[in-house]
Amino acid sequence: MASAFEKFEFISDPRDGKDFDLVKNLEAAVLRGSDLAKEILGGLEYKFNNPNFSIPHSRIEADINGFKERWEAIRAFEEDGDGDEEDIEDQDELCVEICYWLETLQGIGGESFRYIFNEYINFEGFGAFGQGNQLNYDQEFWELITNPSMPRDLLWELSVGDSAERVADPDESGHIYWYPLRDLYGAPRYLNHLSISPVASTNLLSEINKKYEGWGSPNPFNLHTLLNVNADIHVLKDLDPESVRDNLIYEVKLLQGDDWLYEAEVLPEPDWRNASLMRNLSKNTIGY
Amino acid sequence: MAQRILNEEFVEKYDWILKPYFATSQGKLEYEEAKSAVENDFSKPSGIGALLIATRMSEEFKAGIVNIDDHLDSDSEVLRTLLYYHPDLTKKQKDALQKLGIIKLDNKVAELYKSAWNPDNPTMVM
Repeated sequence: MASAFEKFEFISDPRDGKDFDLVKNLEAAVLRGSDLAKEILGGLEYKFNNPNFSIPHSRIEADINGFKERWEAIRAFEEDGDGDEEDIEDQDELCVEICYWLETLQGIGGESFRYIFNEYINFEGFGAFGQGNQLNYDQEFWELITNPSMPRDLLWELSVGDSAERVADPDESGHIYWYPLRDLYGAPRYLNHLSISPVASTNLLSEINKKYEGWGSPNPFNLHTLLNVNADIHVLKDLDPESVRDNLIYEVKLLQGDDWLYEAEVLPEPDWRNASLMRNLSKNTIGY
Repeated sequence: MAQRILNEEFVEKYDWILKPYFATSQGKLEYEEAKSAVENDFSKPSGIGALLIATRMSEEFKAGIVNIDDHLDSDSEVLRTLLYYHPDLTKKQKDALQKLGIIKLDNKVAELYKSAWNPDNPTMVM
């Protein structure tokens, strides 16, 4: 197992700490009982033992250019009236294809990570992802963000740098739900996944929670950070009990699903006092 | 590498703490308020939030990553409260923590802080 990890090209960033070593950190996390760390190391080992699993950068470029051409055809029809309606492909189907494509990129290298996010942030027309047509993938990027091969400087930039806000959904209403009022305040939604992932160093966890702390209440990442194996005693001390409680209720309600999740400006306000959530929570989760 | 976090797995990590907490009188008050609130305007203390943080903190001590002696003068009320309920603390150490300030808890919730030190608790880390 150790010999496989010797091939791991770790692109470090001093902000993670002088001696930060991702593989060693993940191995220590496994000993602490982290199932996520075990899964990540298993994935890395598979990658190193199966050279065909790696995806060349040229393929990423070709795929992105293909998506660009297809979105451009849609844009030209919608905005300029070019083309025949029968020849224009369905946007939803293209989105599904892109989401699936994003899920299959575990084997990419540093150059491809940079290329994909640069293409996402800096684009013309509808872009390669349809982002110019108000489509947003900040949730779907989570698998790239928590990939251990992500260059660390890019990870920091997309988490707490200026690029984080540029990736986040500009339409705030997409993040606000009636109760508990929980908004990611311009943060990309993939930070929810990163906050719980053992690829986030202690320093990065600390910075994520600091950066988004003053943007509102509750702090959206406190509960996930609590369960991160890299949250040390100093990070834990800075967590806000009220944010942890409010995010806990949010997650439990999310688990219950169905009738409680309403976007603030889209659906009418439900009758919370009669909502089935807490009854379900009582029955299924709390058990009394 | 399917790291997708399933909500069910997520809740399993703290479910074993939620059940006994929401069975206490303090927990019931908090639960009832959560049930009737229309937004995050709780008036009750965030007992469950503090308990979850404290329980997770206890793992750092039990794993030997940090020492109790280094944190007896902590600026964190949650941490001081957790340490106060450590079974091996001396009366002098407890008095010092109390002087610095700890969360006022009813007896049943205090028992949950004591049980956070149980070495056989499941880990909360994902």
